[in-house]
Amino acid sequence: MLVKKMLRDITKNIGQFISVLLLSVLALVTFSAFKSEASGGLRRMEKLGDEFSRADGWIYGEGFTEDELDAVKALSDVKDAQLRTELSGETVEFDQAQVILYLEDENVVSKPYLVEGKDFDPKDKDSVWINKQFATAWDIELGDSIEINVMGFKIKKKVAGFIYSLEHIYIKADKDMDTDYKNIVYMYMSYEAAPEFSFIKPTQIIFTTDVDNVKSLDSKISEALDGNYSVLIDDDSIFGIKSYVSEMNQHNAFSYVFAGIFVVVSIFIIMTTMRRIIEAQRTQIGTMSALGVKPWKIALHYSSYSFVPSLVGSFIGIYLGMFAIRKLMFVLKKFYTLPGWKPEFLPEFYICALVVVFACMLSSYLSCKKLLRIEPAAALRPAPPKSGKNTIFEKLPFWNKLSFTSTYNLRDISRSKLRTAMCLIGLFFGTAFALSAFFCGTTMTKMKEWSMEKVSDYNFQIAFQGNVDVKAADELSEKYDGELIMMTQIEIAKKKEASSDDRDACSLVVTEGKDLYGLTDKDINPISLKPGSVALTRKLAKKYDLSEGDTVYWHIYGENTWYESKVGIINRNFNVQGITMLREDFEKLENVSYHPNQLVTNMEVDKDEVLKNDFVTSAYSKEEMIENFDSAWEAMDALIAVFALFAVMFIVIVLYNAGNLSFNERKRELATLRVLGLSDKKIANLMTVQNLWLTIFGVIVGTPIGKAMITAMMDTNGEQYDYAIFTKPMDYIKSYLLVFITSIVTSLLFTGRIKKLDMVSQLKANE
Amino acid sequence: MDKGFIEFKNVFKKYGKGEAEQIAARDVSFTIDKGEFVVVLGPSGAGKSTVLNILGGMDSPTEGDVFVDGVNIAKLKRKELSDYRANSVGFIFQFYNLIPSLTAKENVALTKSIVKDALDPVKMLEEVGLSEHVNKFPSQMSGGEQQRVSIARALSKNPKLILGDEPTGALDSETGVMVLDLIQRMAHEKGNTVILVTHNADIAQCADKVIRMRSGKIREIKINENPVPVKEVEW
Repeated sequence: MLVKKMLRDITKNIGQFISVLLLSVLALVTFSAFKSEASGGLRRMEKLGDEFSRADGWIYGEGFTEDELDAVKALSDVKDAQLRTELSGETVEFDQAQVILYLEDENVVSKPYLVEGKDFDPKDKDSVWINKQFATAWDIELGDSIEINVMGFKIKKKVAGFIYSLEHIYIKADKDMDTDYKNIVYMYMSYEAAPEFSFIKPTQIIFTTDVDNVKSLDSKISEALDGNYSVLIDDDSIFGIKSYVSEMNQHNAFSYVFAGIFVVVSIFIIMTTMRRIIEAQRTQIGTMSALGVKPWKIALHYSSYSFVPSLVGSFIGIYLGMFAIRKLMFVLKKFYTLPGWKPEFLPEFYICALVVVFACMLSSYLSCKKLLRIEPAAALRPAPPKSGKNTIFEKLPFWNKLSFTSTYNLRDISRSKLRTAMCLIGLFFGTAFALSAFFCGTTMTKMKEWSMEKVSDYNFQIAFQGNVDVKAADELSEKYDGELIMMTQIEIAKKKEASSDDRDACSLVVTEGKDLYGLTDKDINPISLKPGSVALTRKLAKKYDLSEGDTVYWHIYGENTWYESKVGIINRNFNVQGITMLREDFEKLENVSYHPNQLVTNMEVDKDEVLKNDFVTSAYSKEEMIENFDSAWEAMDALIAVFALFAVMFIVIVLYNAGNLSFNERKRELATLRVLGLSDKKIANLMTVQNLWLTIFGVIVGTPIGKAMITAMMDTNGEQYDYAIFTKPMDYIKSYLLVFITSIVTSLLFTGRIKKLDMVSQLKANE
Repeated sequence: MDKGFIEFKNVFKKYGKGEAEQIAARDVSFTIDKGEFVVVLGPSGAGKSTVLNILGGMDSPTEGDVFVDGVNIAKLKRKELSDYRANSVGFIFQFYNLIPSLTAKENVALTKSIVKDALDPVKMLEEVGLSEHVNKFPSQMSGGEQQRVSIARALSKNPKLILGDEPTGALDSETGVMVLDLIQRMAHEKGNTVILVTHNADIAQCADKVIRMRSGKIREIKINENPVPVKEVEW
């Protein structure tokens, strides 16, 4: 019988319960969608890692011998190890795509995942194995030949297999902002297939281990190799893995944050709704108690009100989230390649659903607990009217001069703290989401300006082969009045030859100080580098507690010599972290060779003509670079839409519920005001004014929350990025307009209900 | 005393349709003069509240005319009815209907937002003997005190007529007498037209005119040539 009563009561308060259901759906949709793909991805990466013996540690050096490999293999913590040489170059055709070439004579660690063709054979003299994405992008078939140019050697081999590498879940060419599979290819080849490189000793020892902190093996490896290596890194420094893991961790964090926000709002709605229902059913509770219904049964009965919508909502949310993410996986798979990556159905979803249901039921129980303590006889009598008392606002010096609307609303706010709190929470997050949406839009525009105008202050970018002849590069630079840029991977530290744990992999940029490749300070204003010093990026400076005038130590990846440089300026770059130095300073260093990767210029460049140079691999105009940038930031549009949708939903759900509650709680008061002759417009105005006040407060508090939220979100992108959040006054105006318009429209929904208010029946009722 | 200040002419009020149709008022006709203290008597379902609601502009008749000071309020539109309620009627409710979050003074002062020439709320409260309670909230007052605030609120609009729906129904007899005395004085001393709806027959002897209703019809209209002062009635 009580179930029937519950269902009828829910029907009477359908608006509020649908809101709870919707919020439970949203909580579980975001939780299950984000969590399933992130968890599914990380677990799949681990499984494939075991299956294909993906390396856990990478030792870089100037050249390793079999003896050194044996010494590493002999370490008790090392499961397996092998030698490998990594070289870079470009394809001869296919728009001279960037090439990452691995040469091996055995393949026991980091075995490639075969998609099509035959297994990688490290003894095969005629074949090459290339990544499937590149083959698909260029319609390359098995058996086709591919010619590459590496260190000046042209090598042509038949494609024997299409593969994926678990070290390259994410790849992008150096010249690209984001993935474009046409521009980068990684390939596996045997040493025997490339005798041209027999003079190069293997530059890497890769190994597998069960030790969690790979860098803790540093001292043992140092001992085994007698210090003859430059760097030991773990997968946290492998770009293709780190980018993916960062993104998955970000999604994991989103799953908790978004679900948490929705659940908090649900709880507020339940508490306010249940409190109203229970207050209205005071005499029914008294009757049930008088009839002998046990208090726990009554408590269970009222707790079950939120059980139904939260349970139904949670389950719809889980399956809707799974359905949605299955449909949306293709977006992620455009950027990340992990064979067999599927959203994973986790027991955590049910746990999360249970937490949501439990939280909702608990809030229902807490709402009725107080009434259950009252003696049945007392509960059978109508509750005394809500006590009016002086509020804190009455201490205001101008209180007596306030209008009726103001005093009435201020007292109503004081009397309905929970409802007010619910409104404010919704408005805080509504404002925060609205601001995040508009901040993202501005950030996108400004990042483009930062990247395309301040960092890349040039109209043409000409990329070179890795082994470019400096003289030829200089001649071309002179011809186009350009600036040569060299970029390479380095490790930096605060101390010389610091242990692996105290170093960071980052980039070294060598410029000619012509400011075509621009440096910007923390406020994104252009700054220039002075000779004799280097620029250090803000994030690393903060991490190592370094400031202008301090010394930073660094060495080039694969080379053992450490250098020290004075930090001249602290700069900020959104996707290149590390140090920047002038060519004149770089060339003064011992044991380094200057190999520029690109030439940038503001002169008009005839693309066809410049590509005739053997050492030029590609040439891009500003328009092409902008196009590239835009396509890389496409995903941001979806994020903006999601934020805007969340903002509107939050405000509508919360304000509608608050309005509904407020309307039902005050029906009698509003009817009295109508009978006394207050016009419908004035009565509606009473409610609208309160909403507007709360909206103003919500907007004021929501603004810093919005800023903190978007900053935290951007910060989860990983160490290699330093996104600046750009805002402009119009963002605030647009966000506030969105919030206020939504708030006013929601208030207007009640105007009709005020008109329909039945004065007679309301006034006959006793309070 | 203006003759025919209020005139009910063949008023019908029906609710529902077909088999569910209920007739709350059947061919109700009566007149009330200005300054009269009228009591509408009858058991539950007699139609007395329907008459009061129509007179108060909260409901409209299905058929018939209702003239108040020459204006047929049965023909008024929604907005005009709202103005009529604001300017012409003062209500006294059984359950007081005060705004809990406003003090006594503020509840009375509320009428300032409704009519231009509302009377001073403190004076009104003094008149009903509540000068000591002006800053109290409804929950800090007794039922009788709350009802007197309600009366002060009704008076503060300086309305053409004052309507009361069982104004003593929720009060003990002692407090009820005090409130009723106040209402009677409003008519006899201040010249307000007062119409009370009640099922308490004892109140009838205090009125100038008594309208008895049953099953939606008027059974009797009786004029008291010598109404008894409330305090002299044995309750």
